[in-house]
Amino acid sequence: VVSGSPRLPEPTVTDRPLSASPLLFLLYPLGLLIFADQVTDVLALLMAQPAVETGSAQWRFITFGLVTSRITALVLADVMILGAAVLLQHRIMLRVMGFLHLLVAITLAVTLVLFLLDALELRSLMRFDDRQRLVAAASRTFVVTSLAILACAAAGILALRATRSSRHRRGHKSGPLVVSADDAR
Amino acid sequence: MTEARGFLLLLGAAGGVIFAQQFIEMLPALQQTDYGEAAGRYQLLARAGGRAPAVAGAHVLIIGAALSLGHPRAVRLLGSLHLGLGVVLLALLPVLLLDAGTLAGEASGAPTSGLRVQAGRIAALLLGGGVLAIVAGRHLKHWRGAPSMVTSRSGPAEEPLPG
Repeated sequence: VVSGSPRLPEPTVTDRPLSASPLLFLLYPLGLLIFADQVTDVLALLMAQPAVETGSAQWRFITFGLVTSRITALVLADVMILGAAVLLQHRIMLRVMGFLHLLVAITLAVTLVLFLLDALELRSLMRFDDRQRLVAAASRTFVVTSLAILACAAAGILALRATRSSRHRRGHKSGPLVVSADDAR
Repeated sequence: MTEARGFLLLLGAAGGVIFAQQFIEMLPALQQTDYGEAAGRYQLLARAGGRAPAVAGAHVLIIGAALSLGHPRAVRLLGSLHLGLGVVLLALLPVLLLDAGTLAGEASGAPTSGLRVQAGRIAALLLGGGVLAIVAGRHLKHWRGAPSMVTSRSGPAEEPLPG
C-alpha cells in the first residue's frame, strides 16, 4: 500500500529491446556496405596510379597514407557492426569481431613500423622544403594509425573478454552481454 | 525533460547537423551540374557516393534517436522518407549504368578499369543503399509505437491507494 502523493517515476535508460531488432540487424549490411565501399574506393585510387611498385618506398608511403585516410569511415562501419553485435547479443559475431580487431591491430602496428622506416628513407633523399611536407604527412598518418591501433586492440580485447566472462559467470552461453542495473541486483 | 531524453535528442540533432552539412556541401555541385550530359550526371553521382558513409551515420543517429524516444509520428515520417529515398536510389541505378557505359564508349581505347571499378562501387552503393532504405522504411512505417527506451525505473506513476 502506497500512501501520500503519487511517486514520480525516476527516469533511466533501460536495456529493454526497442522492438526494432530487424532495424538493428540492418546495421550489419550497412556497415559492410560502407566497408566495401571504402575498400573499393582505395582500390580505384590505386588503379589510377601508373604502376604498382611494391619495391618502391615512395609507392608504399603513398599507399599507406591513402589507406589510412579512410580510417574515419572504416571506424564508422566498425562501430555499426560491433554495436549491432552487442545490442543483438550475437556472441559468435562479437567473438569473430574481437579476433579480427586484434589481427588488424597487429597488422597495422607492423605496417606502421615499415611506414616509418620508409618515411625516414624518403626524408634523407628529399630537399628541405619537401622534407617538411613529408614530415607533416607522416606525422598525421602516424597519429591516426596509432589511435586506430589502440582502438582496435581495445575493441578486440573488450569483445573477447565480454563473450568469455559472461560464459564463465553464467556457466552457459545465454547470459546477456549488456547487463542493466536492474539485472545486476 | 530528463537527461536521457535530452541526450537522445542531442544524438538526433547531431545526425541532422551531419546530414545538413553534407547536403549544403553538395549544393554547388547540384547547381553546376549539366544534367543533359552523361559525364555531368556521372560526376554528380560519384561525388554523392563519396559522402555515403557520413550520410549513413547520420541516418543511424536520427532513426536511433526517434525510436529510442518513441515518437510514433516521427518514426512513421522517417519510414515514408526512407521508402521514397530507396525508390529514388534504385531509380538512379540504371541512369548510372547507362552513363558509365556511355563514358566507357567515349574513352575509345583509353584504359577504363578505373572507371569500371568506380562505377561498380557507386552501383553497389545505390543498390545496397536503396534496398536497405526500403527495408528500413517498411519497418519504420509499420512501427507500432513500442515503449520508449526512456522509461521509469519503477514503471508508471503509482496511484495512492486508500488507507
